[in-house]
Amino acid sequence: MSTVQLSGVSHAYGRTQALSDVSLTVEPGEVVAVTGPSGCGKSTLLMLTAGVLRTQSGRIVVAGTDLAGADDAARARFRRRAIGLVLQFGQLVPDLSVRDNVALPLLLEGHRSADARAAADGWLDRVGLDVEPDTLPADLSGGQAQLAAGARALVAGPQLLLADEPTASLDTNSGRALLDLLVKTTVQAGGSVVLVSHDNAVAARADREIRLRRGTIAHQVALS
Amino acid sequence: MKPATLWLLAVPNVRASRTRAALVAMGTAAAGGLVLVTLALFRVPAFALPPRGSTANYSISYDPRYAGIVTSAETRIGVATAVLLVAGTALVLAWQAVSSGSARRHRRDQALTTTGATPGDLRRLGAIETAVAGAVGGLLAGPVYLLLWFVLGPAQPATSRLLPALAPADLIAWACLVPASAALAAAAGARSGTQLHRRPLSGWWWLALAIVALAGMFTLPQLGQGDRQLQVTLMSVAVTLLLLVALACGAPWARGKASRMSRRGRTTDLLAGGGLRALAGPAGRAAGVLLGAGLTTGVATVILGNILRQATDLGSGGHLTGIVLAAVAAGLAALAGLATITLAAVDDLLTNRRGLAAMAAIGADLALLQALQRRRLRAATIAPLVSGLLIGGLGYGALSVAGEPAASTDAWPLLIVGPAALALLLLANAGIVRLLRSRTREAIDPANLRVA
Ligand SMILES: Nc1ncnc2c1ncn2[C@@H]1O[C@H](COP(=O)(O)OP(=O)(O)OP(=O)(O)O)[C@@H](O)[C@H]1O
Ligand SMILES: [Mg+2]
Repeated sequence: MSTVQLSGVSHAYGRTQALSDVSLTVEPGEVVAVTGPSGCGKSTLLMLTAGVLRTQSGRIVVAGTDLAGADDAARARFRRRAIGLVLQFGQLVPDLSVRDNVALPLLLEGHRSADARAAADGWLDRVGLDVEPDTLPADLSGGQAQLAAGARALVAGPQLLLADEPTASLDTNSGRALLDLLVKTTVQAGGSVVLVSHDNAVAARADREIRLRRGTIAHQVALS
Repeated sequence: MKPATLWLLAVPNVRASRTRAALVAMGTAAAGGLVLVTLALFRVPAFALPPRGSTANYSISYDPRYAGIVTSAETRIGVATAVLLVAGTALVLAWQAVSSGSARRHRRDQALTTTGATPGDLRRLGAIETAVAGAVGGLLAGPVYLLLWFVLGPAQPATSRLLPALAPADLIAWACLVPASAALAAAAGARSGTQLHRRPLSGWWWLALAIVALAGMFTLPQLGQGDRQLQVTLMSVAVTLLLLVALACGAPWARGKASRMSRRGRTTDLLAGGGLRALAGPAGRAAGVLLGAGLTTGVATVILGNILRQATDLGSGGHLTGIVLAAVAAGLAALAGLATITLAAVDDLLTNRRGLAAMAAIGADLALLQALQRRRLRAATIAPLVSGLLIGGLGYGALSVAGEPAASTDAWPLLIVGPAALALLLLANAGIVRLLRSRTREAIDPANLRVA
């Protein structure tokens, strides 16, 4: 069974049609890059797949859950269980320390806080974020915050990792390292990855590239 | 910066934060009205009670036109202090309103600073924005006073009247109050426009201060043994000091509580701890006010027990008026405290939308976020109210204050009033969470994830 199955998905914000009639699938273990010019609907596609946005029309089935039929609370539970999410902006909760931000998915799942925090420390280490774990997000640089967001997306071992411009504020080397970690960790555990990016280097990391244009799929290419 | 430029910059912000201006005006109006009440209280002809132990006739201090507690020079000081303390809690609320929306103002101030505005300019800008609201509040204080006067002035029977007939002195006081409250609001606005980086005192200092104030509250009145006027004055000073210390200690206490919660194992505690830290200032002020309300209620409850025990006591009529007043004052103060923290929570929901939306995107649903809000409210309010009740009730019961020994059995009404107050508080907390519901829903809208 495919990890992601979208068929005939459209989405509008008021009168702005952000996506129209998009169909695609992502298989287990597959890495897909979604690319395209600004405003073409990449983030919208990602948020719909994550169940952050409510399905307006079409059918979205992710990790066995039919999102169109799920209410807000059910989709929240689905995200906790199945999704690792790296958002384009403002990923960290400002009131919580970096460690607790990373531990958040585990905490929400009901893990013991000591365990969740220990796991968070491990992931902070793996993404190479070298700050005091009690630091508040306001005291991080943009790149450091992005590393923390990457750690948070991985901490619960998601079936599907969705990353929106995950390396935009990182230098080339740190960006490549984080991307490697995101992809390898998830794929080795049998999960799938969808990456959204303007950056060709990011797209090159994928098995397949889906190019969007004005809310529709312009073309798909398999990359070696 | 030229005044015209300042005005130009101030106008859009005043427009954007009409609620802020309205709340500042309301808070100052309430406080101003109560100040006018206090001033009027001192126009009631008062008598000094004969010294304790003297056989002089009680009727010298009896005036059929007013309630006993305002015609006796001693208790009048206590009443005035109580009214002023309620005025103080209204000011706490107004101050919270002044500092609301600070995240947006801070961003604007930064933008202005980078284009060359001096700190002085920013202070003046902040002052202008609130001065108008303060002046409006001062003007509204007149009607507020009139309203209070209609309740307290012509009451029947005459022996429950607390205020004298309206007089030109009221008008003069009001005229002075308007510029005063405008100036006060301007000062508050200017202060909220400056980023203060003071090193906070350590928690132990605050604890020591609180203990000293508390000890003072119970021992100071003992010093005046024999002289009732001195005794009541000292008591008033002690209570005022205690409340000021409680207000000042509130924020460090809330911060300490937040970090204890963050260290705890339960997820709701941990996550709510972060939110409490962000609201430490207003939560602490609300806690201080609730402590005061609890203290007042505790003391009044034990006095009530005392009266009920000596049901035949002739003086109990006057005391009952006092108890009712104390209960009303405590209720109003508690409301102001809760309003303060609600205001801060609304402000937090507005400025913190992105973080909340991110939390929701990761899998926190509305119910969980509401549970966190409830937890945070309880953490900030329950302990202060309960300790206030216990300290006030048991403390007063243990020490004989004002020369009238309270029997240990007088504390029993606490067993009814305490749980009732707690239940009301829990109800209020639930109400606040309900009130915040639609704003919380707006805050977690995925659209908030779009802004950088
Ligand atoms: N909450 C919203 N309200 C109104 N319009 C929106 C909203 N979110 C997105 N849009 C519009 O929908 C379209 C697609 O937006 P989307 O964020 O998906 O683009 P994107 O491909 O991620 O762009 P970028 O590369 O700049 O991040 C744009 O025209 C955008 O203006
Ligand atoms: Mg985008």
